[in-house]
Amino acid sequence: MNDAGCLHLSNFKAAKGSSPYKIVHGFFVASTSYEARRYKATSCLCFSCGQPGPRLHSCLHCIYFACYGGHIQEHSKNKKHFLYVDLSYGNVFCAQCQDYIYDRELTEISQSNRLLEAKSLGISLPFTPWLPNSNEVLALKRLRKRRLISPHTTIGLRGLQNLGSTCFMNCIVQALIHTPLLRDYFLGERHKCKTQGSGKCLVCEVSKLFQEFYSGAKTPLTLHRLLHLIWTHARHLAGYEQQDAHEFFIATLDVLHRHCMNGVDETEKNEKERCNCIIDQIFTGGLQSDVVCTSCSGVSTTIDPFWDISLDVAGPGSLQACLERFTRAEHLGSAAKIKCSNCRAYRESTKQLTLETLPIVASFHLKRFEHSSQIDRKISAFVSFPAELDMTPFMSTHRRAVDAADNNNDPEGLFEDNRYSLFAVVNHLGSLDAGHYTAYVRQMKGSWFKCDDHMITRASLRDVLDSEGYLLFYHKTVLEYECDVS
Amino acid sequence: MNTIVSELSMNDLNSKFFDIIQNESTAEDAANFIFDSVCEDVTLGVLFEVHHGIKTGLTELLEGEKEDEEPYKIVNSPECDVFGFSILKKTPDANCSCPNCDRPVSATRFAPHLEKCMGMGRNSSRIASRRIASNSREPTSYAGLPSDDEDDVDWSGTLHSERRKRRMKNNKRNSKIHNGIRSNNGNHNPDSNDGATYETMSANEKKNLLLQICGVVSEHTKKLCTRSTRCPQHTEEQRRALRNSVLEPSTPESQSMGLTAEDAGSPPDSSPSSSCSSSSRKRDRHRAVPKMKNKREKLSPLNGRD
Repeated sequence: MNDAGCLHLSNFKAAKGSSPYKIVHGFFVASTSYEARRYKATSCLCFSCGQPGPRLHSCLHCIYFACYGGHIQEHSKNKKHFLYVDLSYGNVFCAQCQDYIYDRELTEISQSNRLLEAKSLGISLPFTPWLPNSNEVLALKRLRKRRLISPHTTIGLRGLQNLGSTCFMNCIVQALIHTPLLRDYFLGERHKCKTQGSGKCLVCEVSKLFQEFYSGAKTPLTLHRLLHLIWTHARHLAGYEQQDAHEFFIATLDVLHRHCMNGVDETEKNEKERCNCIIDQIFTGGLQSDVVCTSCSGVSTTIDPFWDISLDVAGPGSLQACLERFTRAEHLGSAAKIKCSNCRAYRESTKQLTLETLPIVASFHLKRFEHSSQIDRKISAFVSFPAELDMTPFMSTHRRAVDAADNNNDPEGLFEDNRYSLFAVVNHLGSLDAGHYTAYVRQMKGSWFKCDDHMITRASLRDVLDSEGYLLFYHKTVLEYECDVS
Repeated sequence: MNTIVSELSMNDLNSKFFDIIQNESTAEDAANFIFDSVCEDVTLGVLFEVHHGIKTGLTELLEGEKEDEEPYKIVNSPECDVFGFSILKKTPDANCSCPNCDRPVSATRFAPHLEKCMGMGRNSSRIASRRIASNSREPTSYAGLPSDDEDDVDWSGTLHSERRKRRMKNNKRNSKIHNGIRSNNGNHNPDSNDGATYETMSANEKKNLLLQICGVVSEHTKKLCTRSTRCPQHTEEQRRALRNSVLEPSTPESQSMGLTAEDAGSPPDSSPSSSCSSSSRKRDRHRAVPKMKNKREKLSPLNGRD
């Protein structure tokens, strides 16, 4: 890869360093402060013609602004200032080479300024394409072969052998393997493990599984080591014949979350209060519970982490209706008085659950198995669920605004995008006593497959949306990039 | 920053902005101008990305040598899955090595094997405590232990593996006799042994019985399973273990009969195709509140099923 600029730029950098570029970029390309934004707003006009364009450039030698309509070229020729910066993207044009040139050092300055700009504005970092570092460039040169992932090939798909009523495991594994961000994490080989090769780390096992799914092999996989690892570390799972896919899902996340710590140093563990492992980054959200005293209207708020949301299915006909009911204020009644810290007495109260923070993957569990002292039954009621779901109405901030009938929206809400896309559905077929689990997974946008143990067949979105639904997995549609300036 | 000449002040900008948006036609012009600028900027971004990729060689580097897609093409046929395997045909069973005991296990019977092997299941704590209590006892004395989990004991310890080797030898020598014995004892009524225990039977009776039936002792009813030697309720391991403990190979009687644990039923390839019925015990399971550890306890209010 050739990103060493050109001879002319090298000479310029040898004489003046890279600070002229850094200043021009930090003020007029990516304004890194309020002051810089003021400068940009008031001075970005062509010094020759007074127009804001077309395509303003700045001379790198004397910071002269001129448009690409002829004036910057004129300035360059007259003054023999051959390097000028495009003010939209910060790329450098060399008049001697007659082309835009790319220099690794300047690119890195540009990247760090973009980060500072986003931080100064309090917004998430805009997307920039991947720029491999020198090690990655070497690896790309050495390993030339590329495997394509397309909707026409089986790459990324694999059947899973039934190990004797282990469809509960197979469908959860299929859902996890097709979780976009988890796939990126594992195919990017981001799990660095201290116990590597010991065969005791579930995260390593899942990492191997991803390699198997993308290996191009077609024979079904046998997940006996995975099952053994999960049972070893989640002893409460009560034997294979009583397995529930939902319970297995939660137990798997728990073991994965604990094993993620295998790659973390002891010192780092204690420093961070909140776990930042990949499982928590993807699956953990915050559930807010507001208990309001009916006497004094005092509110007691707690926020608990959650990995999934269990929803009652009796009654509502859609996922949104289930969620609406889940987040509705509920009167606790006289039998369940709670001690109000304000009144210093036991009072009747209302309780409301809302979503304080959303996880990247929102997992919903439809409570289709009802157990009471009188009757045990499966509720097969149809619950429709959408391919695209907006979670905004169930957020704590939104609910508060609605309740207060406050039309002045939070300014932070301006940038919020809470849209989610369906990517996996686990179904339970049959009755309470005899049943089978299958999963629908989205391999890529618009490309769905049905996973029935070793059998993988094509499915349509219609098939997916018409299915009964037991566990529903949604992935955040637009990912925001965190501004983590070190 | 002395070289920067500010043409406008912020005040100028503000007043100009209000001038423009107060007049409908200039406001529209301004809106169009902004829209065009955004469009141009976005287009320019794509152009720069492509130019950067080509000029630096990054595009070529990322693309590399593309693999031929042909071998991985999805098969589009109603009779096949995406890999081209017939949807009617069963997949051939494979063996896998049990990570717990290192023994080869048929893949389709792995989960039931592992459950026993790890001593899990609803009664795992009961079984575990019993195992601790019975640790001092002679492990082959089956009579005092009405457990269907004895196989775990049998699998550890060199004494037993030596015995198994011996058994394997016997097995080879006598494998032809198997069918003969079986046909001699074809008139057994499987229902007649209700309440029967192995303790009350003679060695011969036990042997004859175990050629006919599964014979595994139920954990709950303490009765023998009277289904066939291929019954799907119990695993091959359970049957083998039971035979190991009931048909004590060291007794001279059984040696002379030429009958070994391996012989009495349990053909090695008897695994029926796995039928998935994971919910067969759902009721029990759903009553159990999942035990969440440490921090995860906070999650349980959402997960509680009761």
